Amino acid sequence: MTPFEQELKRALARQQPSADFTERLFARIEEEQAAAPVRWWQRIAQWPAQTIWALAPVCVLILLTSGTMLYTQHRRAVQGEHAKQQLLLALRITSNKLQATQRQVNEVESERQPNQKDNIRRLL
Amino acid sequence: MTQSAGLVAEAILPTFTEAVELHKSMVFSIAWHFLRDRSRAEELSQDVFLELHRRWGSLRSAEHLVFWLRKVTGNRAIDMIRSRKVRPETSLDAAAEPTTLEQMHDSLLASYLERMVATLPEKQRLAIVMRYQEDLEPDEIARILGMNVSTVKTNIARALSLLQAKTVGRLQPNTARRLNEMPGETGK
Amino acid sequence: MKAIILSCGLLLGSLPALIRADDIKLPASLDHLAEHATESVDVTLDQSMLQLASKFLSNDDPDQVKAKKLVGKLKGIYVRSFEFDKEGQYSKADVEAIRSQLKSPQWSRIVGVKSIKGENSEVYVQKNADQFLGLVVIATEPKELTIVHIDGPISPDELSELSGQMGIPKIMKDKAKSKDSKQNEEE
Repeated sequence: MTPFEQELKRALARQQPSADFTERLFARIEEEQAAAPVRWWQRIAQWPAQTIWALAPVCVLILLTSGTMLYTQHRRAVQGEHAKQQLLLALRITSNKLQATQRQVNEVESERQPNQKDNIRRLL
Repeated sequence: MTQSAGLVAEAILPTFTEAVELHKSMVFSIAWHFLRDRSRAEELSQDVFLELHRRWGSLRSAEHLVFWLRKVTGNRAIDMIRSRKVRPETSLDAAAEPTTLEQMHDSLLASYLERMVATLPEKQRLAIVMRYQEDLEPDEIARILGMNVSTVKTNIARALSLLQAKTVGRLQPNTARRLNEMPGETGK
Repeated sequence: MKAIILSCGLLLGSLPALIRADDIKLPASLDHLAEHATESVDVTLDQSMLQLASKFLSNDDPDQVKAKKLVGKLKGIYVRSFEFDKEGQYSKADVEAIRSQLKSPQWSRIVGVKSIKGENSEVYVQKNADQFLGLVVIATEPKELTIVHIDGPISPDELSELSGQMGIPKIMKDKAKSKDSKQNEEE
Protein backbone atom coordinates (compact mmCIF):
# COMPACT_ATOMS: atom_id res chain seq x y z
CA MET A 1 0.00 0.00 0.00
CA THR A 2 1.48 3.38 -1.01
CA PRO A 3 1.67 6.28 1.43
CA PHE A 4 -1.14 7.93 -0.50
CA GLU A 5 -3.31 4.85 -0.08
CA GLN A 6 -2.47 4.82 3.60
CA GLU A 7 -3.60 8.43 3.84
CA LEU A 8 -6.77 7.48 2.03
CA LYS A 9 -7.36 4.61 4.41
CA ARG A 10 -6.91 6.99 7.34
CA ALA A 11 -9.32 9.47 5.75
CA LEU A 12 -11.91 6.79 5.17
CA ALA A 13 -11.79 5.32 8.66
CA ARG A 14 -15.11 4.17 10.04
CA GLN A 15 -17.14 6.67 11.99
CA GLN A 16 -19.91 6.24 14.51
CA PRO A 17 -23.43 7.42 13.76
CA SER A 18 -25.24 9.63 16.23
CA ALA A 19 -25.56 8.36 19.77
CA ASP A 20 -29.29 7.78 19.56
CA PHE A 21 -28.99 5.83 16.31
CA THR A 22 -29.95 2.46 17.82
CA GLU A 23 -32.71 3.95 19.93
CA ARG A 24 -34.27 5.66 16.92
CA LEU A 25 -33.93 2.52 14.85
CA PHE A 26 -35.82 0.38 17.37
CA ALA A 27 -38.47 3.07 17.70
CA ARG A 28 -38.99 2.89 13.94
CA ILE A 29 -39.14 -0.90 14.02
CA GLU A 30 -41.80 -0.79 16.74
CA GLU A 31 -43.71 1.83 14.81
CA GLU A 32 -43.57 -0.28 11.67
CA GLN A 33 -44.73 -3.41 13.49
CA ALA A 34 -47.63 -1.54 15.07
CA ALA A 35 -48.69 -0.11 11.73
CA ALA A 36 -48.41 -3.39 9.84
CA PRO A 37 -51.80 -5.03 9.41
CA VAL A 38 -52.03 -8.42 11.07
CA ARG A 39 -52.69 -10.99 8.38
CA TRP A 40 -55.32 -13.68 8.85
CA TRP A 41 -52.74 -16.43 9.09
CA GLN A 42 -50.86 -14.43 11.71
CA ARG A 43 -54.05 -14.21 13.76
CA ILE A 44 -54.58 -17.95 13.41
CA ALA A 45 -50.99 -18.56 14.41
CA GLN A 46 -51.73 -16.72 17.65
CA TRP A 47 -54.59 -19.06 18.54
CA PRO A 48 -53.93 -21.60 21.24
CA ALA A 49 -52.66 -24.93 19.95
CA GLN A 50 -55.70 -26.70 21.42
CA THR A 51 -58.07 -24.60 19.33
CA ILE A 52 -56.03 -25.22 16.20
CA TRP A 53 -56.03 -28.99 16.82
CA ALA A 54 -59.74 -28.92 17.56
CA LEU A 55 -60.40 -27.17 14.27
CA ALA A 56 -58.11 -29.41 12.24
CA PRO A 57 -60.72 -32.16 11.64
CA VAL A 58 -63.25 -29.53 10.59
CA CYS A 59 -60.75 -28.12 8.09
CA VAL A 60 -60.01 -31.62 6.78
CA LEU A 61 -63.75 -32.26 6.46
CA ILE A 62 -64.27 -28.98 4.60
CA LEU A 63 -61.39 -29.79 2.28
CA LEU A 64 -62.69 -33.29 1.64
CA THR A 65 -66.25 -32.10 1.08
CA SER A 66 -65.25 -29.32 -1.27
CA GLY A 67 -62.87 -31.68 -3.09
CA THR A 68 -65.62 -34.27 -3.50
CA MET A 69 -68.05 -31.60 -4.65
CA LEU A 70 -65.60 -30.30 -7.22
CA TYR A 71 -64.91 -33.82 -8.45
CA THR A 72 -68.64 -34.59 -8.65
CA GLN A 73 -69.27 -31.37 -10.54
CA HIS A 74 -66.48 -32.20 -12.96
CA ARG A 75 -67.81 -35.75 -13.45
CA ARG A 76 -71.32 -34.42 -13.93
CA ALA A 77 -70.07 -31.96 -16.56
CA VAL A 78 -68.26 -34.73 -18.45
CA GLN A 79 -71.33 -37.00 -18.25
CA GLY A 80 -73.61 -34.15 -19.32
CA GLU A 81 -71.51 -33.28 -22.33
CA HIS A 82 -71.35 -36.97 -23.31
CA ALA A 83 -75.12 -37.32 -22.89
CA LYS A 84 -75.68 -34.21 -25.03
CA GLN A 85 -73.52 -35.62 -27.83
CA GLN A 86 -75.39 -38.95 -27.59
CA LEU A 87 -78.72 -37.15 -27.74
CA LEU A 88 -77.75 -35.11 -30.79
CA LEU A 89 -76.44 -38.25 -32.48
CA ALA A 90 -79.67 -40.12 -31.70
CA LEU A 91 -81.79 -37.29 -33.11
CA ARG A 92 -79.64 -37.13 -36.23
CA ILE A 93 -79.96 -40.88 -36.86
CA THR A 94 -83.71 -40.75 -36.24
CA SER A 95 -84.06 -37.87 -38.64
CA ASN A 96 -81.98 -39.58 -41.33
CA LYS A 97 -83.99 -42.76 -41.12
CA LEU A 98 -87.30 -40.92 -41.24
CA GLN A 99 -86.13 -38.95 -44.27
CA ALA A 100 -85.07 -42.16 -46.00
CA THR A 101 -88.47 -43.64 -45.23
CA GLN A 102 -90.18 -40.57 -46.65
CA ARG A 103 -88.09 -40.83 -49.81
CA GLN A 104 -89.01 -44.48 -50.22
CA VAL A 105 -92.68 -43.72 -49.70
CA ASN A 106 -92.51 -40.97 -52.32
CA GLU A 107 -90.82 -43.31 -54.78
CA VAL A 108 -93.44 -46.00 -54.26
CA GLU A 109 -96.27 -43.51 -54.57
CA SER A 110 -94.95 -42.02 -57.80
CA GLU A 111 -94.84 -45.50 -59.39
CA ARG A 112 -98.51 -46.21 -58.60
CA GLN A 113 -101.59 -45.03 -60.46
CA PRO A 114 -103.45 -42.16 -58.85
CA ASN A 115 -106.31 -44.37 -57.75
CA GLN A 116 -103.85 -46.81 -56.19
CA LYS A 117 -102.22 -43.88 -54.42
CA ASP A 118 -105.54 -42.97 -52.97
CA ASN A 119 -105.92 -46.51 -51.73
CA ILE A 120 -102.54 -46.36 -50.02
CA ARG A 121 -103.40 -43.04 -48.47
CA ARG A 122 -106.68 -44.47 -47.29
CA LEU A 123 -104.94 -47.50 -45.95
CA LEU A 124 -102.36 -45.38 -44.12
CA MET B 1 -16.19 -30.15 22.82
CA THR B 2 -14.00 -27.13 22.20
CA GLN B 3 -13.99 -24.79 19.30
CA SER B 4 -11.75 -21.88 18.59
CA ALA B 5 -13.30 -18.51 19.29
CA GLY B 6 -12.59 -17.39 15.73
CA LEU B 7 -14.57 -20.24 14.19
CA VAL B 8 -17.53 -19.68 16.51
CA ALA B 9 -17.54 -15.93 15.79
CA GLU B 10 -17.60 -16.56 12.03
CA ALA B 11 -20.28 -19.20 12.06
CA ILE B 12 -22.88 -17.89 14.46
CA LEU B 13 -25.31 -15.20 13.40
CA PRO B 14 -25.63 -12.60 16.13
CA THR B 15 -28.98 -11.41 17.39
CA PHE B 16 -30.50 -8.46 15.57
CA THR B 17 -29.64 -6.08 18.41
CA GLU B 18 -26.04 -7.32 18.43
CA ALA B 19 -25.89 -6.98 14.68
CA VAL B 20 -26.96 -3.33 14.91
CA GLU B 21 -24.32 -2.59 17.54
CA LEU B 22 -21.63 -4.49 15.65
CA HIS B 23 -22.25 -3.05 12.22
CA LYS B 24 -23.87 0.34 12.57
CA SER B 25 -20.55 2.15 12.19
CA MET B 26 -19.73 0.15 9.04
CA VAL B 27 -23.10 0.87 7.45
CA PHE B 28 -23.10 4.51 8.50
CA SER B 29 -19.52 5.06 7.29
CA ILE B 30 -20.18 3.57 3.85
CA ALA B 31 -23.18 5.88 3.54
CA TRP B 32 -21.32 8.88 4.95
CA HIS B 33 -18.24 8.49 2.75
CA PHE B 34 -20.44 7.99 -0.25
CA LEU B 35 -22.96 10.78 0.37
CA ARG B 36 -20.99 13.27 2.50
CA ASP B 37 -24.28 14.24 4.11
CA ARG B 38 -24.67 13.22 7.72
CA SER B 39 -28.46 13.34 7.94
CA ARG B 40 -28.90 11.41 4.68
CA ALA B 41 -26.24 8.91 5.72
CA GLU B 42 -28.12 8.33 8.99
CA GLU B 43 -31.44 8.03 7.19
CA LEU B 44 -29.97 5.54 4.74
CA SER B 45 -28.36 3.51 7.55
CA GLN B 46 -31.66 3.38 9.43
CA ASP B 47 -33.43 2.18 6.28
CA VAL B 48 -30.81 -0.52 5.76
CA PHE B 49 -31.26 -1.84 9.31
CA LEU B 50 -35.06 -1.68 9.00
CA GLU B 51 -34.81 -3.77 5.85
CA LEU B 52 -32.45 -6.11 7.66
CA HIS B 53 -35.04 -6.51 10.41
CA ARG B 54 -37.68 -7.45 7.84
CA ARG B 55 -35.38 -9.97 6.17
CA TRP B 56 -33.68 -11.25 9.28
CA GLY B 57 -35.07 -14.76 8.81
CA SER B 58 -33.34 -15.17 5.46
CA LEU B 59 -29.83 -14.56 6.75
CA ARG B 60 -27.66 -17.63 7.14
CA SER B 61 -24.44 -16.60 8.87
CA ALA B 62 -22.38 -13.73 10.22
CA GLU B 63 -20.50 -13.53 6.91
CA HIS B 64 -23.74 -13.44 5.00
CA LEU B 65 -24.94 -10.65 7.29
CA VAL B 66 -21.88 -8.48 6.61
CA PHE B 67 -21.99 -9.17 2.89
CA TRP B 68 -25.70 -8.30 2.81
CA LEU B 69 -25.19 -5.06 4.75
CA ARG B 70 -22.36 -3.86 2.50
CA LYS B 71 -24.22 -4.74 -0.69
CA VAL B 72 -27.52 -3.20 0.35
CA THR B 73 -25.88 -0.06 1.74
CA GLY B 74 -23.92 0.40 -1.48
CA ASN B 75 -26.97 -0.13 -3.69
CA ARG B 76 -29.16 2.15 -1.60
CA ALA B 77 -26.51 4.86 -1.59
CA ILE B 78 -26.37 4.78 -5.39
CA ASP B 79 -30.20 4.77 -5.52
CA MET B 80 -30.35 7.76 -3.20
CA ILE B 81 -27.88 9.70 -5.30
CA ARG B 82 -29.82 8.93 -8.47
CA SER B 83 -33.34 9.46 -7.15
CA ARG B 84 -32.72 12.63 -5.15
CA LYS B 85 -30.18 14.04 -7.55
CA VAL B 86 -27.83 14.41 -4.61
CA ARG B 87 -24.63 15.88 -5.90
CA PRO B 88 -21.39 16.40 -4.00
CA GLU B 89 -20.91 19.93 -2.79
CA THR B 90 -17.57 20.23 -4.58
CA SER B 91 -16.77 18.68 -7.91
CA LEU B 92 -13.38 17.14 -8.36
CA ASP B 93 -12.60 19.28 -11.37
CA ALA B 94 -13.67 22.51 -9.73
CA ALA B 95 -11.64 21.70 -6.64
CA ALA B 96 -8.59 21.09 -8.81
CA GLU B 97 -8.56 24.51 -10.35
CA PRO B 98 -5.00 25.88 -9.77
CA THR B 99 -6.29 29.35 -8.97
CA THR B 100 -8.18 28.07 -5.91
CA LEU B 101 -5.31 26.09 -4.54
CA GLU B 102 -4.10 26.72 -1.07
CA GLN B 103 -1.28 25.15 0.74
CA MET B 104 -2.77 22.45 2.92
CA HIS B 105 -1.67 21.42 6.33
CA ASP B 106 -1.23 17.68 6.94
CA SER B 107 -3.99 17.63 9.52
CA LEU B 108 -6.46 18.80 6.91
CA LEU B 109 -5.39 16.14 4.43
CA ALA B 110 -7.74 13.43 5.71
CA SER B 111 -10.72 15.74 5.65
CA TYR B 112 -9.79 16.92 2.17
CA LEU B 113 -9.38 13.38 0.87
CA GLU B 114 -12.71 12.44 2.39
CA ARG B 115 -14.39 15.27 0.52
CA MET B 116 -12.58 14.40 -2.70
CA VAL B 117 -13.70 10.77 -2.50
CA ALA B 118 -17.31 11.97 -2.36
CA THR B 119 -16.81 13.72 -5.70
CA LEU B 120 -15.74 10.60 -7.59
CA PRO B 121 -18.12 8.88 -10.05
CA GLU B 122 -20.52 6.49 -8.25
CA LYS B 123 -18.88 3.17 -9.06
CA GLN B 124 -15.36 4.45 -8.44
CA ARG B 125 -16.46 6.04 -5.19
CA LEU B 126 -18.07 2.88 -3.94
CA ALA B 127 -15.06 0.80 -4.95
CA ILE B 128 -12.72 3.19 -3.13
CA VAL B 129 -14.89 3.17 0.01
CA MET B 130 -15.02 -0.63 0.03
CA ARG B 131 -11.31 -0.89 -0.64
CA TYR B 132 -9.98 1.65 1.90
CA GLN B 133 -12.74 1.89 4.48
CA GLU B 134 -13.63 -1.79 4.58
CA ASP B 135 -10.16 -2.99 3.58
CA LEU B 136 -11.62 -5.43 1.06
CA GLU B 137 -9.77 -7.14 -1.77
CA PRO B 138 -10.91 -6.41 -5.36
CA ASP B 139 -12.55 -9.84 -5.70
CA GLU B 140 -14.65 -9.26 -2.59
CA ILE B 141 -15.63 -5.80 -3.85
CA ALA B 142 -16.52 -7.33 -7.20
CA ARG B 143 -18.90 -9.77 -5.48
CA ILE B 144 -20.56 -7.04 -3.46
CA LEU B 145 -20.94 -4.62 -6.35
CA GLY B 146 -21.77 -7.30 -8.90
CA MET B 147 -18.87 -6.37 -11.17
CA ASN B 148 -15.90 -8.08 -12.80
CA VAL B 149 -12.73 -8.08 -10.72
CA SER B 150 -10.91 -6.35 -13.58
CA THR B 151 -13.55 -3.59 -13.68
CA VAL B 152 -13.14 -3.08 -9.95
CA LYS B 153 -9.39 -2.87 -10.29
CA THR B 154 -9.71 -0.38 -13.14
CA ASN B 155 -12.17 1.72 -11.14
CA ILE B 156 -9.89 1.80 -8.12
CA ALA B 157 -6.80 2.62 -10.20
CA ARG B 158 -8.56 5.48 -12.02
CA ALA B 159 -10.01 6.86 -8.82
CA LEU B 160 -6.62 6.75 -7.08
CA SER B 161 -4.92 8.41 -10.00
CA LEU B 162 -7.50 11.21 -10.04
CA LEU B 163 -7.38 11.72 -6.29
CA GLN B 164 -3.60 11.69 -6.20
CA ALA B 165 -3.28 14.15 -9.05
CA LYS B 166 -5.71 16.59 -7.47
CA THR B 167 -4.37 16.25 -3.95
CA VAL B 168 -0.60 16.34 -4.26
CA GLY B 169 -0.52 19.83 -5.78
CA ARG B 170 -2.31 21.21 -2.74
CA LEU B 171 0.07 19.77 -0.19
CA GLN B 172 3.04 21.24 1.52
CA PRO B 173 6.20 20.20 -0.38
CA ASN B 174 7.33 17.76 2.30
CA THR B 175 4.01 16.02 2.47
CA ALA B 176 3.72 15.92 -1.30
CA ARG B 177 7.15 14.40 -1.56
CA ARG B 178 6.28 11.79 1.04
CA LEU B 179 3.06 10.83 -0.71
CA ASN B 180 4.81 10.58 -4.06
CA GLU B 181 7.46 8.25 -2.73
CA MET B 182 5.76 5.03 -3.82
CA PRO B 183 3.50 5.64 -6.79
CA GLY B 184 1.72 2.73 -8.52
CA GLU B 185 0.87 -0.38 -6.49
CA THR B 186 -2.69 0.74 -6.42
CA GLY B 187 -5.88 -1.19 -6.07
CA LYS B 188 -4.29 -4.58 -5.66
CA MET C 1 -104.71 -61.71 7.39
CA LYS C 2 -101.29 -62.88 6.28
CA ALA C 3 -102.79 -63.89 2.96
CA ILE C 4 -104.22 -60.41 2.45
CA ILE C 5 -100.91 -58.77 3.23
CA LEU C 6 -99.15 -61.19 0.91
CA SER C 7 -101.63 -60.48 -1.87
CA CYS C 8 -101.23 -56.74 -1.40
CA GLY C 9 -97.49 -57.15 -1.45
CA LEU C 10 -97.59 -59.15 -4.66
CA LEU C 11 -99.94 -56.63 -6.23
CA LEU C 12 -97.73 -53.71 -5.27
CA GLY C 13 -94.67 -55.60 -6.46
CA SER C 14 -96.19 -56.27 -9.84
CA LEU C 15 -97.52 -52.71 -10.24
CA PRO C 16 -94.43 -51.27 -11.97
CA ALA C 17 -94.46 -54.21 -14.34
CA LEU C 18 -98.08 -53.55 -15.19
CA ILE C 19 -97.50 -49.87 -15.66
CA ARG C 20 -94.54 -50.49 -17.95
CA ALA C 21 -96.16 -53.34 -19.86
CA ASP C 22 -95.96 -51.34 -23.08
CA ASP C 23 -92.20 -50.80 -22.74
CA ILE C 24 -90.11 -51.79 -25.70
CA LYS C 25 -86.97 -53.71 -24.88
CA LEU C 26 -84.16 -53.72 -27.37
CA PRO C 27 -83.07 -57.38 -27.30
CA ALA C 28 -79.67 -58.27 -25.89
CA SER C 29 -78.93 -60.16 -29.11
CA LEU C 30 -78.47 -56.77 -30.80
CA ASP C 31 -75.44 -56.08 -28.65
CA HIS C 32 -73.66 -59.10 -30.13
CA LEU C 33 -74.07 -57.63 -33.61
CA ALA C 34 -71.59 -54.90 -32.70
CA GLU C 35 -68.83 -57.53 -32.75
CA HIS C 36 -69.34 -58.12 -36.48
CA ALA C 37 -70.20 -54.53 -37.40
CA THR C 38 -67.76 -52.15 -39.07
CA GLU C 39 -69.58 -49.29 -37.42
CA SER C 40 -72.04 -49.38 -34.57
CA VAL C 41 -73.94 -46.81 -32.54
CA ASP C 42 -75.41 -47.57 -29.15
CA VAL C 43 -77.30 -44.70 -27.55
CA THR C 44 -79.16 -45.36 -24.32
CA LEU C 45 -80.52 -42.26 -22.68
CA ASP C 46 -83.04 -42.75 -19.91
CA GLN C 47 -85.06 -39.91 -18.40
CA SER C 48 -82.34 -38.80 -15.99
CA MET C 49 -79.68 -38.80 -18.71
CA LEU C 50 -82.00 -36.89 -21.03
CA GLN C 51 -82.53 -34.29 -18.32
CA LEU C 52 -78.80 -34.06 -17.81
CA ALA C 53 -78.14 -33.77 -21.55
CA SER C 54 -80.86 -31.17 -21.82
CA LYS C 55 -79.02 -28.97 -19.27
CA PHE C 56 -75.98 -28.96 -21.53
CA LEU C 57 -77.85 -28.01 -24.67
CA SER C 58 -77.14 -24.46 -25.75
CA ASN C 59 -79.78 -21.77 -25.47
CA ASP C 60 -78.22 -19.89 -28.37
CA ASP C 61 -78.23 -22.62 -30.99
CA PRO C 62 -81.76 -22.89 -32.49
CA ASP C 63 -81.28 -26.64 -33.19
CA GLN C 64 -80.40 -27.29 -29.60
CA VAL C 65 -83.22 -25.11 -28.29
CA LYS C 66 -85.67 -27.23 -30.27
CA ALA C 67 -84.01 -30.43 -29.15
CA LYS C 68 -84.28 -29.26 -25.55
CA LYS C 69 -87.98 -28.61 -25.93
CA LEU C 70 -88.50 -32.02 -27.52
CA VAL C 71 -86.60 -34.10 -24.98
CA GLY C 72 -88.05 -32.29 -21.97
CA LYS C 73 -91.02 -34.66 -21.73
CA LEU C 74 -89.37 -37.83 -23.02
CA LYS C 75 -88.71 -40.88 -20.88
CA GLY C 76 -85.92 -42.24 -23.00
CA ILE C 77 -84.20 -42.41 -26.34
CA TYR C 78 -82.58 -45.67 -27.46
CA VAL C 79 -80.72 -46.17 -30.72
CA ARG C 80 -78.93 -49.21 -32.06
CA SER C 81 -77.35 -48.88 -35.49
CA PHE C 82 -74.97 -51.30 -37.17
CA GLU C 83 -73.15 -51.21 -40.48
CA PHE C 84 -71.57 -54.40 -41.80
CA ASP C 85 -69.02 -55.02 -44.52
CA LYS C 86 -71.00 -57.96 -45.92
CA GLU C 87 -74.58 -59.12 -46.06
CA GLY C 88 -76.24 -61.58 -43.72
CA GLN C 89 -74.58 -60.44 -40.55
CA TYR C 90 -77.87 -60.00 -38.75
CA SER C 91 -80.82 -62.35 -38.76
CA LYS C 92 -84.56 -61.87 -39.20
CA ALA C 93 -84.92 -63.08 -35.65
CA ASP C 94 -82.99 -60.03 -34.43
CA VAL C 95 -85.55 -57.74 -36.05
CA GLU C 96 -88.49 -59.96 -35.17
CA ALA C 97 -87.60 -59.67 -31.50
CA ILE C 98 -88.49 -55.98 -31.74
CA ARG C 99 -91.37 -56.33 -34.13
CA SER C 100 -93.13 -58.85 -31.89
CA GLN C 101 -93.19 -56.29 -29.07
CA LEU C 102 -94.91 -53.81 -31.37
CA LYS C 103 -97.84 -56.11 -32.06
CA SER C 104 -99.60 -55.00 -28.89
CA PRO C 105 -102.77 -52.88 -29.37
CA GLN C 106 -101.07 -49.73 -28.15
CA TRP C 107 -98.75 -49.72 -31.13
CA SER C 108 -99.63 -49.01 -34.75
CA ARG C 109 -97.46 -49.37 -37.79
CA ILE C 110 -98.00 -46.18 -39.72
CA VAL C 111 -95.43 -46.78 -42.46
CA GLY C 112 -93.97 -49.91 -43.89
CA VAL C 113 -91.89 -49.74 -47.06
CA LYS C 114 -90.06 -52.58 -48.78
CA SER C 115 -87.78 -52.07 -51.76
CA ILE C 116 -86.33 -54.53 -54.25
CA LYS C 117 -82.87 -53.54 -53.12
CA GLY C 118 -83.75 -54.76 -49.67
CA GLU C 119 -84.00 -51.33 -48.10
CA ASN C 120 -86.96 -51.66 -45.75
CA SER C 121 -88.39 -49.17 -43.32
CA GLU C 122 -91.08 -49.44 -40.73
CA VAL C 123 -92.39 -46.71 -38.47
CA TYR C 124 -94.48 -47.57 -35.44
CA VAL C 125 -96.17 -45.18 -33.06
CA GLN C 126 -97.87 -45.57 -29.75
CA LYS C 127 -100.85 -43.26 -29.90
CA ASN C 128 -103.06 -41.55 -27.39
CA ALA C 129 -105.59 -39.04 -28.78
CA ASP C 130 -103.59 -36.56 -30.85
CA GLN C 131 -100.27 -37.30 -29.25
CA PHE C 132 -97.69 -39.98 -29.77
CA LEU C 133 -96.52 -41.70 -26.65
CA GLY C 134 -93.69 -43.44 -28.38
CA LEU C 135 -92.02 -43.96 -31.70
CA VAL C 136 -90.07 -46.89 -33.11
CA VAL C 137 -88.24 -46.87 -36.41
CA ILE C 138 -86.85 -50.09 -37.84
CA ALA C 139 -84.67 -49.52 -40.90
CA THR C 140 -83.01 -52.50 -42.50
CA GLU C 141 -80.68 -52.80 -45.45
CA PRO C 142 -78.66 -55.82 -46.48
CA LYS C 143 -75.59 -54.41 -44.74
CA GLU C 144 -77.25 -52.11 -42.25
CA LEU C 145 -79.67 -52.32 -39.36
CA THR C 146 -81.01 -49.38 -37.39
CA ILE C 147 -83.53 -49.40 -34.59
CA VAL C 148 -84.70 -46.20 -32.94
CA HIS C 149 -87.00 -46.09 -29.96
CA ILE C 150 -88.20 -42.75 -28.64
CA ASP C 151 -90.09 -43.34 -25.42
CA GLY C 152 -92.41 -40.56 -24.29
CA PRO C 153 -94.87 -38.00 -25.53
CA ILE C 154 -94.00 -36.28 -28.79
CA SER C 155 -96.53 -34.24 -30.66
CA PRO C 156 -96.44 -34.43 -34.45
CA ASP C 157 -95.88 -30.66 -34.42
CA GLU C 158 -92.75 -31.02 -32.33
CA LEU C 159 -91.38 -33.60 -34.70
CA SER C 160 -92.28 -31.41 -37.60
CA GLU C 161 -90.54 -28.41 -36.01
CA LEU C 162 -87.29 -30.26 -36.10
CA SER C 163 -87.62 -31.02 -39.79
CA GLY C 164 -85.71 -27.94 -40.90
CA GLN C 165 -82.75 -28.40 -38.60
CA MET C 166 -82.57 -32.01 -37.59
CA GLY C 167 -83.91 -33.16 -40.92
CA ILE C 168 -86.90 -34.91 -39.42
CA PRO C 169 -89.42 -34.89 -42.26
CA LYS C 170 -93.05 -34.01 -42.06
CA ILE C 171 -93.91 -37.62 -42.70
CA MET C 172 -94.91 -38.11 -39.11
CA LYS C 173 -97.38 -35.29 -39.17
CA ASP C 174 -98.83 -36.29 -42.54
CA LYS C 175 -99.07 -39.94 -41.67
CA ALA C 176 -100.58 -39.19 -38.33
CA LYS C 177 -103.28 -37.20 -40.01
CA SER C 178 -103.83 -39.97 -42.53
CA LYS C 179 -104.07 -42.48 -39.74
CA ASP C 180 -106.53 -40.28 -37.90
CA SER C 181 -108.69 -39.92 -40.98
CA LYS C 182 -108.48 -43.66 -41.56
CA GLN C 183 -109.60 -44.31 -38.01
CA ASN C 184 -112.34 -41.76 -38.36
CA GLU C 185 -113.54 -43.42 -41.53
CA GLU C 186 -113.57 -46.82 -39.81
CA GLU C 187 -115.53 -45.39 -36.92
